[in-house]
Amino acid sequence: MIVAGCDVGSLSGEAVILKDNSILTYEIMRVRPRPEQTAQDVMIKALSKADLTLADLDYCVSTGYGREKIPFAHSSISEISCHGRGAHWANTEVRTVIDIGGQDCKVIRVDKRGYMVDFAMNDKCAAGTGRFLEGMAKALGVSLSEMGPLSFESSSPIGITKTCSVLAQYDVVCMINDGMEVADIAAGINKAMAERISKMTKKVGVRKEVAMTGGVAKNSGVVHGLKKVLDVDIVDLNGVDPQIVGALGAALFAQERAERELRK
Amino acid sequence: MNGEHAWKPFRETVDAPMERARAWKEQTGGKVIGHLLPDVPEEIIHAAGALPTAVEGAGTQGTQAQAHIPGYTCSHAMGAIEQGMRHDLDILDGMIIPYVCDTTRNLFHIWNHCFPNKSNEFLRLPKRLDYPGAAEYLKAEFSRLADSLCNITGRPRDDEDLAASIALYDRSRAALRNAYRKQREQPAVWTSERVQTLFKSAAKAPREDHLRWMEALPWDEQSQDAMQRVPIYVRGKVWDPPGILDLFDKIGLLVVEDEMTTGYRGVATDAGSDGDPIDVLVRRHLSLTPYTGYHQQPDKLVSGFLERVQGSGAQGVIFLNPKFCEAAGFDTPDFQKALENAGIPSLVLESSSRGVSLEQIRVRVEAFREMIAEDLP
Repeated sequence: MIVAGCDVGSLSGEAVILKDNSILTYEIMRVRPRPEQTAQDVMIKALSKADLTLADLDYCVSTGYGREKIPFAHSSISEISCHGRGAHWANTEVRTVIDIGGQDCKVIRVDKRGYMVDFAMNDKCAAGTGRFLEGMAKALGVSLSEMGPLSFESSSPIGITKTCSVLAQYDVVCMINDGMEVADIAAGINKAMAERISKMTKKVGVRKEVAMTGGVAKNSGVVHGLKKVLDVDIVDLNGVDPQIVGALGAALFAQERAERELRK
Repeated sequence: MNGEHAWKPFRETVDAPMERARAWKEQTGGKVIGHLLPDVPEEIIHAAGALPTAVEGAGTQGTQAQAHIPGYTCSHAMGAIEQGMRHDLDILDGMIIPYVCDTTRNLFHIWNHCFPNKSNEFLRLPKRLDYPGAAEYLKAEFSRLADSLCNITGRPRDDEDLAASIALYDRSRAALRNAYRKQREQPAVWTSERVQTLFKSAAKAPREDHLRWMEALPWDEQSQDAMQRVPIYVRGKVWDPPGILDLFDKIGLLVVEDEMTTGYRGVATDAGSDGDPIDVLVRRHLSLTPYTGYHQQPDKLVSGFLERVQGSGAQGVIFLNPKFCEAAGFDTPDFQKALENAGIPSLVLESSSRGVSLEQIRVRVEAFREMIAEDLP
């Protein structure tokens, strides 16, 4: 049985193809102007890696902000459920998932089956999200992937107190003008991100093991900061790219839904 | 009248409430009195010969009000000022603002300053409903309001008129409760959005007309509901953002009971006809589901809430807390804790049509449904 999950978010789109409960292939790409376009492109790319076409899919579940707009999806499920499910599949010990996406962050608590039992999601603004980090990297003049390693070079992280992304970016520009070390500013940004996310995590409650998903999980500076603030280890997803976990969860739900339809 | 046609007068009233009031005024020559909803006794306005018209600020977008009221004011209060500033409320002869929170207390003075040519009334509702003197105090306040309104309309105050108004409003509340029951039994026909339109229009149209329109609704119509709906209980003040009930309908949530001032709370309790009509209204007021701005014994407040939730059969609770409403925010943690101890999941949504994305709310509500329904995949 071949099934797929497609996650169209605000910054990136991901597709995961599963065959008999194993990841066959996946693809990540920057979003196009329209969600249906992103979904089509990312799915075709993922399928083509395994010489497949849309016609080969037995079932597809969509998730993410563009989930309702994906024409080839059979059904949709919220990304909150999907991230919980995907992270638990990658590491069955996981009970708390911290997902930091492009425009929101979520903390999801799952049970031993990987089903969500509680969650929290930011609702004020983009502070503590990938979009915030992207803006900060731009202000620092470094790439997003450099933000993590750069922050480890810092000896004295600078405090970033603004919660508004725009005003924080202004602060960073002023700090650069004042001649402050870029590494110290980067470390301060990652620390501020971690502190913001930790507040939400504590609301839901930290249950071990804790995993991180979403694009920001690739920023070692934020991961390090969260470990420190929450005083927990962030466990490995056994080689699964943290950015595809939402699409992976959707694909797992697709597999179950396809099996259920077969049984009917 | 049947099918979609039967719902038309309710929708027309909600879409253009002041047009309905204007037509009534032209026809009767009567006064139109606006009110800012929570617990204003519409019966007293009606008995004075005026048309009570609820002013709902929530959902109003605009730029003028912020020059008169701080930006951290709830959208209900802010929107009401905005409507006034852009002359949407010119048809009103007067306005009643109830004292239910710090915002409404200050709002009255701002309102008076902005619209000095209207007859504005500040209804000083008691904050301690369980205090022995509350009933006596409220009776004096309701009487003062009745006298003041009769001065505006020029109609002599008459207990028989008030008793007749109370009877009319009790009949209307009973009809609205029936509609609410229908929503639970036939959610595909009596959708939350439709039923809410009935509730909203009741507070804006002449109540005699509203009752007549309700009789013409398709009460016997049945339709198979294709959705597996999950029963929820909602606590909040007003339905805001405006698309929230439609969202619940589409996602497959069924509101089995709510505490909104523009929802079930407003029709759950009748006044009756036993005794002096002002006393009857006072008794009704004191037996209403506690509003978030009133002071109650905390233990009693929490246990009462939990009992109502458990009695409703809801699988989960959504708190629709208005943005910038401190009173709602203060209550919520105690309620959530009690629900958690009882094994009932809950979700807090900071709601407002100002600065809150409906799409973000949608993600959370969908996830909440998936969590409490336990019907994934």
